[in-house]
Amino acid sequence: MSEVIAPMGGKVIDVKVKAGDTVNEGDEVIILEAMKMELPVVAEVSGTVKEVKCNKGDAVEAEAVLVVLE
Amino acid sequence: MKQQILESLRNASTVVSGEALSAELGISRVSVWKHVRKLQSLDYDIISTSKGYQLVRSPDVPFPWEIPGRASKIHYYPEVTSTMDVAMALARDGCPDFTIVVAGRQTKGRGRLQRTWQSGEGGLFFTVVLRPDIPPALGSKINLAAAVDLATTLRRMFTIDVKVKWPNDILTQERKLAGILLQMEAEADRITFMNIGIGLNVNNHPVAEVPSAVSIKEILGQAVSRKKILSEFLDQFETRMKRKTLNDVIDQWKRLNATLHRRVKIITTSEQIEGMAEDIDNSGGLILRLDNGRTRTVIFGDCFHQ
Repeated sequence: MSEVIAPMGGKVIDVKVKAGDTVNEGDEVIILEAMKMELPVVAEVSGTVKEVKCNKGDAVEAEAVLVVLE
Repeated sequence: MKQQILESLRNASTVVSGEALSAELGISRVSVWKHVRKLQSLDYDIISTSKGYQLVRSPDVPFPWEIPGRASKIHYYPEVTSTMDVAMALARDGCPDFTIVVAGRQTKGRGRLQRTWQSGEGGLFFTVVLRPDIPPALGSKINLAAAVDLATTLRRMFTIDVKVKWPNDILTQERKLAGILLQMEAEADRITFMNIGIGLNVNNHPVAEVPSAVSIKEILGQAVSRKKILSEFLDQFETRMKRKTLNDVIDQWKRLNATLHRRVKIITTSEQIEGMAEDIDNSGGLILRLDNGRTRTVIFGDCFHQ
C-alpha cells in the first residue's frame, strides 16, 4: 500500500482518479493550488486506487493523505 | 552554424561572398548555401546573388540562435498545445535548470485553473524550467520575482507604466498585458522542479476579455522585438536566481503593485471575500481588511479590483 501525500497545504483544484482506477508511476492524480502555484501531485508507484481522501474544492494541510493506492 | 552565418552577415554592411563565409566558418560553400536556404525558409530575408549573400531583414521570431548565450537551452516550436505541457515533459525527463520552451503560437494556451490564454501569432509565449534549491514554501516568492522582473524589463525597454496585480497578472493602464502561471513538483522538503509560464501580449491583438487585455503594440502604436524582450527578461531573471536570495522580492513587488490599498473582491470556488487589500505577507498571501474590521489572509483565488 502507498499513500499520495500533499507536499504543501493548498486547495484541491482537480481530482484525476477515482477508486478502482489503475495508475502508473508518475501519473498526475491530484492537482493542488497553493500560493498561486499549481502543484500536480503524482503517484510515486504504480497501483490501483483504493481510496480518494479529498474532494475538489477541499483545503488540505501539508502532508495530508490525498489518495491511497494498493 | 546558423548563428555564425547570421553574425557574419550582420557584421558585414554589404554582400558577403560564399567563399569568404566558407573560409571564415570552416565549412564548404555548398554547406553555406544549404544553411542560407534553411534561413530563407524560416523567413530571413537574405539576398543571394552571384557575388554572395546579404541579410536584409530578420524575422522577429525567438529562435534559439537569436537569444544570446542560450541557444542550447531554448526549445522553439512554431506551434504547440501549451509551452507548459512541453516544459512539464522535459522537466520530468530531467532537463537542466533554466531550460526554456518558446512557442510561436499555442493551440491550448492556458492560465490558472485550466482557463484559456489567448495565444495568437505575435505574442510571446514561453516557460522556464527552474530547479531551485529551496523549500517548496518559498516557491511563491519565485512567482513574485518573475512578475517583478518582467514588469521592470518592460518598463526599462518601453517606458510604459507596468504594474503587478495579485495574484499573477501584469497590467498596464489597468489592462492585462501578461499572465504568469507557475507549476511545481515537490517533495516535502525540496522542490523537484518549478515551471514558470509567461504569456505576454506583444504584437498580437488580444480580443476583449475581463479585465480587458492589451498588447505592447497597441499601446505604443508600433511592433516591438519579442526576441529582445525574451533575452532581456531571461538575463535579469537569471541574474536574480543566481544571487540565491529572495529577501528583496516582497518589497520590490509592493513598489510595483496595482492591488494594495484598494478595495478588492476575491472569488474562490467556494466563497467570495471583499475588503481592503492592505498588504502581502512574506510568502505572497494577500492580507485583507474585512468590513467587520478583522484581517484575513487569502492564498488563492481570483482578484477583482473594485
